[in-house]
Amino acid sequence: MKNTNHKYLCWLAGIRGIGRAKKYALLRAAGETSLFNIFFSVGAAAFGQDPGLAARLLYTAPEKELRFLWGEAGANAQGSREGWQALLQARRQDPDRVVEELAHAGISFIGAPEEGFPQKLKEIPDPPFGIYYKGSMPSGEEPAAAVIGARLASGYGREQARRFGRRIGARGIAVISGMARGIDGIAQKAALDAGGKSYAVLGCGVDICYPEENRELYERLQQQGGVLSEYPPGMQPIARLFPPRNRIISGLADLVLVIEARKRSGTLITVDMALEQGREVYALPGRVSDALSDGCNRLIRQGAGPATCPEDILEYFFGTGSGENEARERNVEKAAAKAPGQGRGSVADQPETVMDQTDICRQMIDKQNAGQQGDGTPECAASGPLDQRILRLLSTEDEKHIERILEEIKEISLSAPPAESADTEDPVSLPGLVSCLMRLKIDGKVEESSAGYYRKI
Amino acid sequence: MVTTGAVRGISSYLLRVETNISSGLPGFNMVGFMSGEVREAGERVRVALKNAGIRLPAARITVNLAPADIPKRGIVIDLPVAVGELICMEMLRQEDFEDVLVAGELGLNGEIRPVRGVLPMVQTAKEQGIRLCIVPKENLEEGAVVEGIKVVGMRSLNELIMYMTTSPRKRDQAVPPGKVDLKALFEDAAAGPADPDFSEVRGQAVAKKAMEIAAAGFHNLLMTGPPGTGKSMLAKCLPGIMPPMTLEESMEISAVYSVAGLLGQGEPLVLRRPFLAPHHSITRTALVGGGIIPMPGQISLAHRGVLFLDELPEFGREQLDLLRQPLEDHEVTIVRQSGSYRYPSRFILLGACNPCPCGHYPDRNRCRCKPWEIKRYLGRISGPLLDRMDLSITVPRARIEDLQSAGGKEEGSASVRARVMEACERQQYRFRGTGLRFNADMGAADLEKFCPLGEKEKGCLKDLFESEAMSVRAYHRIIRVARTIADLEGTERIREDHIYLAYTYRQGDLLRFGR
Repeated sequence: MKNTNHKYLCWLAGIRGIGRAKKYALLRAAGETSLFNIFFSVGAAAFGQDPGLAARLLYTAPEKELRFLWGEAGANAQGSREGWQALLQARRQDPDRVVEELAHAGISFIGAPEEGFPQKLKEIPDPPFGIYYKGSMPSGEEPAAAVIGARLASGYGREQARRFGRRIGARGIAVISGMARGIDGIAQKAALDAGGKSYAVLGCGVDICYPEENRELYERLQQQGGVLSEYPPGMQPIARLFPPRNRIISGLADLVLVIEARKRSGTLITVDMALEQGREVYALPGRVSDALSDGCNRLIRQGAGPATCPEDILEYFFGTGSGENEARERNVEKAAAKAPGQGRGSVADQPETVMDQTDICRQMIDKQNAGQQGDGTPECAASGPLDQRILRLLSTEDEKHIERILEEIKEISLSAPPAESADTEDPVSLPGLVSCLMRLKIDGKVEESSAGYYRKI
Repeated sequence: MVTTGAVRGISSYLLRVETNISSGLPGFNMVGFMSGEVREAGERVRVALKNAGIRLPAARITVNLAPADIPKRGIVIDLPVAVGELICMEMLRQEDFEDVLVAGELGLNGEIRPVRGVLPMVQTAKEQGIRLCIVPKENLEEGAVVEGIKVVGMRSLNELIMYMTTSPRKRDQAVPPGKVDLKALFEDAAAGPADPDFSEVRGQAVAKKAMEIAAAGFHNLLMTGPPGTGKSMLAKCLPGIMPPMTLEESMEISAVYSVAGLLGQGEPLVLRRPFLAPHHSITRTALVGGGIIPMPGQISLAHRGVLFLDELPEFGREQLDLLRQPLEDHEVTIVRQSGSYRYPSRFILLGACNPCPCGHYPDRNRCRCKPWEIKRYLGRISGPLLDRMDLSITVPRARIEDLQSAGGKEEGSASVRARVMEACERQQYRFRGTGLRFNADMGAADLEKFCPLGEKEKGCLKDLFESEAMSVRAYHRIIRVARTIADLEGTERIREDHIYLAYTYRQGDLLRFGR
């Protein structure tokens, strides 16, 4: 794949001021012209095997011929003069230098016409000219799922992104996303933590880490997957570059999973592109009162597949019966929980934090119980030592303010039948509640997600 | 020669007004290092005397304000000048005015108008051995509050002349000296319209406890929460749970109000703890004090009381920064050419703010604020100011169940106040002989001395310190607040659960480091 003419493709890709379509057209014009014969003593058919040759022609041809090719590549009055000038300017560069600089920065490039470029991505309505990447490129052979969602996500969305990302990644499905704040970053990190692969497509050059707060993810992705972009290195993350990169996210994937989206959001743009590309779309249903689930619920109504658990996605790839070996999963997750960057060590030893909260809760709800386990509703927390009662009142998804916790504990203490309450501690006082909550916090069982609001971990 | 008083800040000093009539071209001359507005007295006096039926002789009248090296600005000396002239014209006797203080403004028709600062004037007069104060009638009650000195109030020049020309024995009959029954005053105040009561606020146990702690230890408190959650209402309850004002405190704050000209008729003393809630468009001068003749600002008018700043981030950064020094020193000094003006400013600072620009964070259904927007909004409250807020809480949105419930028994302000007063007594005992008054005053060294901790407590603090990357300031803050919590419970020893509760109340740290 990387032959001597590759550098010419790199050179052509890096020219700013000429659009993607124009570059394709130039290559095609160059490949079909009889000039080929003259310059390279090979037939135009050689273009098919070595697209770099066409680029080389563009680099070496005399100006008059180049002008002809430019015209062949389609008249586009607007910007045509700037483009032409850009091309002329660019011919003064040295392609070897271009490749050298890329290598120096650890960046690789693969052009669309080259071998090894994922077929899926070549076939979308407006494929990129090429992809710059750090790390590796998805081969196109392995299964890949795009996991996307809102940047300002809720606790529910974050939890589910983690859950899906982890299970999908653990099963060898590559997770593709935009490395953005919120859902994207969380899903990708979860996939990596589970030992899976993940690729991020950026809305800026691959040498720039945007957003800065995902820097750790940016570094890890280069080891366990790749950081990709169709934009040349150095390109700053400006708003108009983001929508086009979404088509690459869905283009590289077989399936797009939307975790959370408002009814009008960037995430839904990606879904449109996915549909254009013929990709399967799944969405996570949510509460109808949550603005962040509006987009998802609508998609489902319009025909997207509802995804209530990772098995739904796995089923798409591997067929039914992929409700897999629970024990194997638990081991994978235990390993993931002990991976660096996961948080307090003691947490990993608790089965509650290793298996999915939602799964446990579902099981528990099925069991007819008299308030033995909790899912965040007050009825469940009638008895037991105080810290257990507090934990039952909290959920991992919604945060609860300390006032609520106090009120709810008081309420259920009052309404608990006398026989039971004889076993419990005295009426809860504010200092008592707070002490317990703080100890839980120090032990890592709850976290204060925003000032005064608490969440089970 | 007539003695009068002037105020600078809340302290008063005595001035001598000397009058002399001599031969020469008729004229009126005032000397004594005074500025324009003080000189105007001359003209007013002349016309007032004429309208009172007294003709000034056609001679050279000179008035001197002694001591000559103190610049006199913004003081009203109409009445003393008039009396001086009357003495010169031998209509009044000089001996009658030995050890007498005279103060008042004159209207052109001869009536005597009230002046500012009578209370500190009378206090100073008493200290300097004056035995009688003649003040405007409207300032009579104010002056009469000071015990041990006789104060009479005059309505007009003619009344004054009549009073001073009556034989001394009959004077008290003619114009009885002012008398104020302090005890009754305080009792009336206690019985009067109350501040909003705690029992009117539903739920919010955490916030109410925080207010109790603030009142007991004189700690500053910051409330963060969506609009409409009752932050303002809670704030207004605070004076109601603070201990009732003592006479000493009342005199202090009344002096400030007197200087500001805010002591009205029938209100010789400020009897209830002040509660001031300035709008965020307030100017620096109005907040902290100042002006050409420096007047007390809101922070001084809130002395011994509560200053409530709603929408804290909307106050300018500069404004908030100006609060730092007074919060630390408990007084504000304004320096002018004529001298330094000092006003006391020991108050509880109550702040309220929204958690984000739209106010609904962390409700993701309503809040679309980006993290940087939130950071920028909250960043308007300066770090150093947050550092001085010992307590910081979030006030959540009320549930519909709370509003619609039958209403359980909510604790009323009276019983909370009882606990607060006990805690105050403990502090009084603890700090006897030192300059400290409340737990909030304790600095790092004081904490070591007055708040010894057991091993278990030290261990729990260590856990908190490490798990949260606390600053040293935050560490001290927790101990200070824990001390008050223990006091409220009536225990001398600070326990673990006190520390945990104090720890819950430092959510300001979270605010600052952005969530």
